[in-house]
Amino acid sequence: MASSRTGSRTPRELAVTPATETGGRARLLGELRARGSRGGVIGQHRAMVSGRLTPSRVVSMVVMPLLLSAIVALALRPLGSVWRAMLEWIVPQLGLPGDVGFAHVSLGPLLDFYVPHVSAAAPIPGAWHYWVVGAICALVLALTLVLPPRVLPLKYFLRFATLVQLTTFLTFAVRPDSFPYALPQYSLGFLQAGCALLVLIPLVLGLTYFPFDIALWRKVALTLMAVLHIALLLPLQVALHSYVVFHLSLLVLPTMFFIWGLLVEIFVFVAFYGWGMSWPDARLETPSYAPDGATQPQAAAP
Amino acid sequence: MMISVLIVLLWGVVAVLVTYTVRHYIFTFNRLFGRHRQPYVDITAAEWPTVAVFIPCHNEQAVITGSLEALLAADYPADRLTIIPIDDRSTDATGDILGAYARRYPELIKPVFRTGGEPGKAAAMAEAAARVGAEVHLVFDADYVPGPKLLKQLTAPFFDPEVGAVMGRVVPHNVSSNLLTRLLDLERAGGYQVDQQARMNLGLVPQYGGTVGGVRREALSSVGGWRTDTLAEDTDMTFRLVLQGWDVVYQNRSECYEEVPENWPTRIRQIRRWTHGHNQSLARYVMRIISKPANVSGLQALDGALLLGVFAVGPILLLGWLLALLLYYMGYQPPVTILVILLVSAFSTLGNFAAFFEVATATRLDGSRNRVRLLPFLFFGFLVSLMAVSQETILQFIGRGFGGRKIKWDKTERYRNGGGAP
Repeated sequence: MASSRTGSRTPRELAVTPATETGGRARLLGELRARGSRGGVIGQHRAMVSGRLTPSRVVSMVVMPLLLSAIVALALRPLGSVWRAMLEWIVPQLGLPGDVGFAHVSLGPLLDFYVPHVSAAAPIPGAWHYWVVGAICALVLALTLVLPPRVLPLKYFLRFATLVQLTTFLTFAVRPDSFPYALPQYSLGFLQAGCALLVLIPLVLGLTYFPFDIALWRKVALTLMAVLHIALLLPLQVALHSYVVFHLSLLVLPTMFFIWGLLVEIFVFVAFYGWGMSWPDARLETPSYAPDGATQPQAAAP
Repeated sequence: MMISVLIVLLWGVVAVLVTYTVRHYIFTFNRLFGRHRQPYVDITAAEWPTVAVFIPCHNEQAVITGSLEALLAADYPADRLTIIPIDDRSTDATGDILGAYARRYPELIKPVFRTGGEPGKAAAMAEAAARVGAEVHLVFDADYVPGPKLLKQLTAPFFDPEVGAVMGRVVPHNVSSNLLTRLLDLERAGGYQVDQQARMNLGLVPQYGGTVGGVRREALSSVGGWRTDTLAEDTDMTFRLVLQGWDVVYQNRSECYEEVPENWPTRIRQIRRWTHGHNQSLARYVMRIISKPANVSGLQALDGALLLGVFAVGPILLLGWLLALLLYYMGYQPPVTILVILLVSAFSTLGNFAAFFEVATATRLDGSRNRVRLLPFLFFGFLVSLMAVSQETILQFIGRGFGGRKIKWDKTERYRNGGGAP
C-alpha cells in the first residue's frame, strides 16, 4: 500500500532496478541518499537549505508579476466605476453632504481612468472640535497609562498616534487659516495612491514571493487575493476617513493620513504575505518518493 | 528656503534608508540563491586544540546547572577542555552550585570567583581570560544549552590560521511562551539565518556576538584582550579583529539555544544596552573602517560601516518622519503626477517591506511555516525597538555621551525553573 512502487523495495533492489522502469537510476540514487530509517525521508538541515533559481522560476518571477500588474492597471478603469458606485451608496448612508466626484487620471492612452472622491468639505476646526479631539487624546493617553505591560507595543502605538495629533493642534494654533489641505483633495489623493499600490502589489510579490518553491497557482491566488482585498478596503477607508474628518474637522486629517492611511494597507499586505509564506512547498505536494507513513522533509528548499 | 533645506535633509534620510533597504535585499537573495560558505562544518576528526569554555555568571542559579550539564556532555577530548564559569559577585546560590561542580569535576571545571574589580561581562572575561593558556577561548552565556557537537563545530574553524573569531547561531528555546518570544524568534531567524550567513557567503564582516562563539587566544592577545569600558565587548572585539586583519567567521550549522526576554520591559533594557554598546563601537571604529586599512577590502569596509551604523538608523528614521510631517504642514507636495505617487508608494512598500522579506525568508528556510503568519505583528516589535533605540542613541549623542553610562551587570531576566548543585 505504498504510495509509490519504490517505497516497498529494499535499497539493493532499488539500486539494480532498470532505469527505464523507474525513470532513471540517478533519481533513485538521489532518493536513496535521502532515505532515513523506516522509510522516512532525511531532510536537509536548515542551515544548509537554500532556494533553487531555475530558469523557469526566473521567468515566472518576471513575466507573471508584470502580466498581473498590467491586468491590475487595465482594471483600474472598471475599478474606478466600482469605487464610485460604492461611495455613492455609502456617502448618503453616512449622512455626508455633496456628490461623489470623478477625477480623470491619464498616463497615456493605455492608462486612462477615473478616480472618485468625496466632495463634502470638512470644516476648519472650531472650539467644539478642539475640545472633543483634545478629550479623545486625553482619554487615549490615560488609557495608555492603565494598559498592562504585556501590551506595551499598543501603548507605544497609541502614544505615537496621539503625538501626531498633538502636532496638528500645534499647527492650527500657530497658523489657523493656512492649513493647505481639504477633504475632497485628500480623498482623491488617497485613492490615487491606492491605485499605485494596487499596481505595485504583483511586482513586490514577484520580487519577494515568486522566488520561493510554491505552486504557481498559489502565487497567483495570493496576488489576486491581496489586490482584491485592498481594492475593497480602499473606498471603505476613504468613506470612514471622510466621515471622521467631516465631523471632527480638518484637525484630524493629518492623523488619518499618517496613522490610519496607507499604513493600514501595508499591514494588510504583510499579513497576506505572511500567510502565503506559510503555504507548503510545491515539491512536497507531489512527492516522488513517499512510502506510507514516511516523514516528509522538515526543511525542503524554499 | 526653509522648505528647500527640509527637502534636502529628507532626501538624505531617504538615501540612508534606501542603502539599508538594498542591503536587506542583497543579503536575502544571497542567502536564498548564493553559494554558501560553510567551510569548516565537516571536520569531525582532528588533533583538536586546547579549549577553554568561559561562562560569565551573575546570579544565574536558575540556569547555570543546565548549561554545565550540557557542557559536561559535550563531544570534545576531556584532556583538552576546561570549563571556566566566572562567578562575578553573585548574591544567589550560583557560587555554591559552581563550587559543588568544581569539587565533583576538579580537572574539568575550574570556576573563577570574582569579589572585586570592575563589574560586568567584559571585565569578568578580561580577568579570567588573562589567566588561561588554552589556544581557543569559547564563550557561552549562562542560560545557553550547547549540544554535544557544538564545541567541535565552533573550534574547527580555528584550523584556518587566519580565523580570529567564530560565531554560531543563537536559537530561542522559549519561543512558545508568548507573542513577544515568538516575535523575537522571527527577528533572530532573520539576523542569523539570513544576515550573518549572507555576510559569511559574501566575505564581509560576520559579527562575533559574544556568546556561542569564541576567539583565538593569539588573536585576542594581538588586539590587546577584552575591553572593559564597553557595553558591547562582542562588537568591539569584532571590529578590532577585522581591523587587525583577522577573519571573523559564522557557522550557521552550529546552533545553541537561549532564553529570550518574555516581557517588554526586559526586552527594552536589552535593546538599550545593545544600542549603547554598539554606538560606542560606532564612535570608535567607523572612521577607521571607512579609511580602509590595507587588510580590509572595500566591501568589508562598506559592510562594516553599515553594521556599525545599524542602531543609528532608528533615530534617522524618526528624523525622516519629523521632516515629512513638517513638510506636510508647510503644504509641500511633490509634483502630483501618478508617476511620483508610484515612486513614493514603491519606496513605502518595497522599502518598508525589505525587513519583512528577510524575516519571512529566514523563517521559511527554518521550516517554521506557521510562525511566519505572525509577520504583521513585527510592526509592533519594530515600533518598540525603534523607540528604545532612538531614545538611547539620542541620549548618547546629545546627553550623557558614549562613555558616560556606568558599566554594570545589566542582567536579562531568566525564566527557567531553578537548578541546584549536582
